[in-house]
Amino acid sequence: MKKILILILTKILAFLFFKLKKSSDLPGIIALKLDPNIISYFRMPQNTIFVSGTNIKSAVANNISQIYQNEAYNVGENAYSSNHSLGILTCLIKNSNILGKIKPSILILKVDALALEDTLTKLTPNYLIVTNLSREQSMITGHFEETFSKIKNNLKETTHLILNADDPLVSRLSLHHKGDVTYFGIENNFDNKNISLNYDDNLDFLYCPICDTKLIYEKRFYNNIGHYYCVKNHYTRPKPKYPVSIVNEEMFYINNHTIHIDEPFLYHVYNLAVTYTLLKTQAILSDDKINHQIDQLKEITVAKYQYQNKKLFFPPTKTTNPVSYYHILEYISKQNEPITLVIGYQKLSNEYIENDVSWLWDVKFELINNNDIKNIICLEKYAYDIAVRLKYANFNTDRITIVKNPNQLMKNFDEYTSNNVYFLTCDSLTQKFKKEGKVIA
Amino acid sequence: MTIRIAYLYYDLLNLNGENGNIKILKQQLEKQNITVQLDLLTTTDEINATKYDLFYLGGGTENHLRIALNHLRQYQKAIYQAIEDHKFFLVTGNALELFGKSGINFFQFEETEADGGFHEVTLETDFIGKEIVGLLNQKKDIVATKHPFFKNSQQGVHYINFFAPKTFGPIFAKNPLFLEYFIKQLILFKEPLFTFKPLEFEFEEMAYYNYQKLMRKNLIK
Repeated sequence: MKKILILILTKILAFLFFKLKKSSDLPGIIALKLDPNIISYFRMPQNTIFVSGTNIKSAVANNISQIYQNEAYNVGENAYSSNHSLGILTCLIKNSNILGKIKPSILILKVDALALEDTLTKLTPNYLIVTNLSREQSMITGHFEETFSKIKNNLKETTHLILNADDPLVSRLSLHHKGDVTYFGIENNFDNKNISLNYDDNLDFLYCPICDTKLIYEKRFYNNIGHYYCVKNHYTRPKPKYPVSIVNEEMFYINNHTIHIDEPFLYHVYNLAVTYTLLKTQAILSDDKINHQIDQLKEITVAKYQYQNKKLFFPPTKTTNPVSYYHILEYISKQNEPITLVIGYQKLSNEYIENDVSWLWDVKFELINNNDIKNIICLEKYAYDIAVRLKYANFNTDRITIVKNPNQLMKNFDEYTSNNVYFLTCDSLTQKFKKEGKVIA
Repeated sequence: MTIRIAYLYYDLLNLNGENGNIKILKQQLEKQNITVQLDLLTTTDEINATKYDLFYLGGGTENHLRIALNHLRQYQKAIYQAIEDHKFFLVTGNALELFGKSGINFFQFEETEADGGFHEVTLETDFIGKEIVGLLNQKKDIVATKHPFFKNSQQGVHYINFFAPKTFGPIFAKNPLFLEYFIKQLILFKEPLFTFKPLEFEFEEMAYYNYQKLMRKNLIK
């Protein structure tokens, strides 16, 4: 009876937030306070998918949700609450009846690394997707081995893992899992540039998980992502069920289906590859429907705006996450036009208050040190830290300008910037600058 | 003049942007017209300790520390000798554990589990006029050390030219006085009559003061 009353109260709250289109974990906070074991009350639907990993988990979860909704399935997701434990609880409250039965036939939860242990202990998904694991600012989640352990120690045999074959940090989860595993990954990349290893390439995991011998890479796409094997034959990159062949910057194949993309971001290829693999593995939709829906998905691309007589570009970066920056800097390095870069953060994270920006040194700004970068504006309260980083990425300090106040930048925009301005800024600053401009279709 | 740096276990001990210390040192040394030979060494390499002027080790995961230690043990005697011969060591983050009782046992400090939190610190040393700022990851406390890096704190080690502040991240990025001290000591050890070009740390100094200001704001909160 108590649980029913708690659900009624918190469902009303969740409904109000939903109607106001506001994201909030408050229903979950209240429910947990009233009953610490409330989560055990919920009964999961037949199709429960958890999406975790350092990058693209929101994009992947949103893709899967969108596709099933387009095919008229009732889908529950934590779009209006966070991907932390309380946000997940809020999502369950919103999507259940008062007896705790989750009403949608498909439940998709994005699960942050901080929530993994708690969530996997109490709930068992049918499918767990792990997109990748890599370094972030340590204060948020600890390092990637800690995240790996949280998953490994709480896996249930009935969960079907969908893992990134190209990431040895992730693929080795299969060594600790008795249940089903399906892999996604890239078989061929058109440019086959086979990036050579350098000490500043975010070398997260390069050693055999069984014998500690250094892995050999036949192909490397970036950092430690690629095709690898142990010389003592103890561990090899597993085969993706539906391997991807990237034909050129605009097209790739998966399972004989051609997919066109607008912008050549590898993370987007992985995004579509894992979405496709999950849908095929679940086998709820026919192949034709899967192919059709994958083709309709919108890419998260570089947002383009016009302000005064300049073009503003907002690439999708994630503050404190070097991998997301890698893809964007690679992209910027290929734009043959004069560029002003604006880099700034008002706030580093919602998870910690410390002011450490060590993660900036795992971002390879050296990739864009060329003549096209006319100048860099270092903005807001970490401006000097950013400037130090750029100085030691061998940018001439004459090209670096410190601007503490964003309003000052906007007031003197013409004077400070060239015709093409790229913003690598935190969310609040990005939204502020976007408001000033007009979207370029 | 050439300075030879061995970046030990670069592919294992490299968390938290600590490779930045190498970038900073390299650029500053080259600005002094010094040739820098940087050797990236790992478990598949031999360590010829006599060849190098400076050894650098960064922080790493517990698993990576274990793999590094398995290799480093073979060179225990050579490393001991290098430290006693006044070779320079810069050891950041938890790499210091490799040199304690659970490692090659050069230093007699005890390691105990701590609260695991992150703490912004501003601590004094005996060898630099201003405090050093940084972030300590308190997974393990290092206690009873005879050669503490900081005054009034048992964290970290400083012994002859062995510098292990135990803060993580690129310590030189926002501690220009420590950077200046370290560069000068490293160069003068090799060439006592070296004439320095002016060292410029405009951005680093502002980053230092800014960090202290932001730290104070957090303390008030």
